[in-house]
Amino acid sequence: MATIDTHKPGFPEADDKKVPLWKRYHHGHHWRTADDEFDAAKIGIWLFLSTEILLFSGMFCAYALFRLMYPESISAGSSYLDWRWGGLNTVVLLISSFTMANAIRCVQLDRQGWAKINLIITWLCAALFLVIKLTFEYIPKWGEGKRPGVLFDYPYAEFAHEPIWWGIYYVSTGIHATHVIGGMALIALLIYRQAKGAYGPTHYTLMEGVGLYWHIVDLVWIFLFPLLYLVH
Amino acid sequence: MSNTQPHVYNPADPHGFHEGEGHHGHVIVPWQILIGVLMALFFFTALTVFQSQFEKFAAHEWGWQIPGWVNIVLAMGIATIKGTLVVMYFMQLRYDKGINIILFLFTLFAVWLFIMFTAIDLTGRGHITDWRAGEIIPGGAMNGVGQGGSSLANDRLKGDLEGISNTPLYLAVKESFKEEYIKEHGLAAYEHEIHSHHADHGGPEISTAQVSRSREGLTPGLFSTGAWQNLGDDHSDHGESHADEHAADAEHADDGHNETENNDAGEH
Repeated sequence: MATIDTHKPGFPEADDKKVPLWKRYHHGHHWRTADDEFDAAKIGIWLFLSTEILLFSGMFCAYALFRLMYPESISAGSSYLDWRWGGLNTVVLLISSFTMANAIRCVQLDRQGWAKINLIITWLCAALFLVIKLTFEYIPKWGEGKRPGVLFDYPYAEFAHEPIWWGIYYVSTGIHATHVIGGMALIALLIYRQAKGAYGPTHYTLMEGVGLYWHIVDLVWIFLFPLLYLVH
Repeated sequence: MSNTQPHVYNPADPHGFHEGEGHHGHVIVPWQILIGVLMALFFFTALTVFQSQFEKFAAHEWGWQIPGWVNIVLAMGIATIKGTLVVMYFMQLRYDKGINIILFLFTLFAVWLFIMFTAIDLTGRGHITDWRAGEIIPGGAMNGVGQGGSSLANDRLKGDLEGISNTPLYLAVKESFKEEYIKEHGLAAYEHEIHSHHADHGGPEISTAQVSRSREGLTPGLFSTGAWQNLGDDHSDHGESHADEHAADAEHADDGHNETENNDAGEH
């Protein structure tokens, strides 16, 4: 039996190198149990997710505001968006949400191979989301002159306040895309750590946290898509 | 979890470092539920797209006039269902401790407050309350036309309180105060109050340390330093020549701090 120093928090060295990293994990001493540490981390993540929800609710409120003030411009601007690209992006993010949840499940069952595959698919779906958004939505529209505020240059606009619509569109989807990029960085970190065997049935706190964050990113898109693309 | 069982001392773990490590309350969501939720999400995505495109198609082809709020309510309703599924099963809030559920629901409540107050403000902006409104004359009442854009600030600078004293709100409040006073003290007392100016009794209209005088209107001289007096008069034009105004200013420039209402009433 390998001697494991259980009194140092974190991942202490073990005599037997074949013991995976997650098995050697010991929770910090200021916690009664590892469960307490996990639960506390979860509460912290949920508090952070509350702030994220409130951040995006500001943009939803801006949408409601400008829709009430300039209904024709918002409606006309919305008709420029192609729901098929938005729908494809929605499907891509839903799949990535599923694979993220599945990755956590695999780690809970100590199926490291499947966990790695699921994490990589999640990351690829996120990248695909960004590629679709950039290639088929942002770049063509920006080139046509459909830009926010003073940058607006589209010669066939019908209503006076369409630049405001483009401001709403670019800011809300842009901040969402920024969150996707941040999520991709975190998932890449997870892939790296998981390859080292850091996550297992008794320790997967970071995976849980990033997973919760990724689901909020998906949740925000679930609301953004009908609001921007489908409401006419 | 650990607090519900009575504590038993374990000599192998005297400090209790490893208490509770036996039970792991982490729920493992079965893959069937995950796949089921994913399929449900796909279905609702298709549903919301179909609903939106169908409404457009029906309006275009058959001329169905569906009110706009239906579209928004349906879209947001379906989005809420999808969001609930994601939160309950992918984020495992269904199997989670109460505190996380409370946090999440409270956040939604905060969002609702945010949007509700904004919406109340926005949708109520066109509404004119009767007792606040002035008389509505087609073409406008020409308030401020030909007076150099006289504003309330200018009225105060000139000591002219007519602008305030004529609004329906001011008059209505004054009227209601009068009725209250008469109801409580009788008409005779009211008449006595109205007609007994303190100035007639030889005392000043101004409060002193011994007696306080209630007044109507603004403090005289509140806005008048020498410079302010000049500035206020320059912006307004009552048809008098500028020479007259400057003369009047020069006269009263020194009285800035001692002006009373009588002086102000007499000036213009």
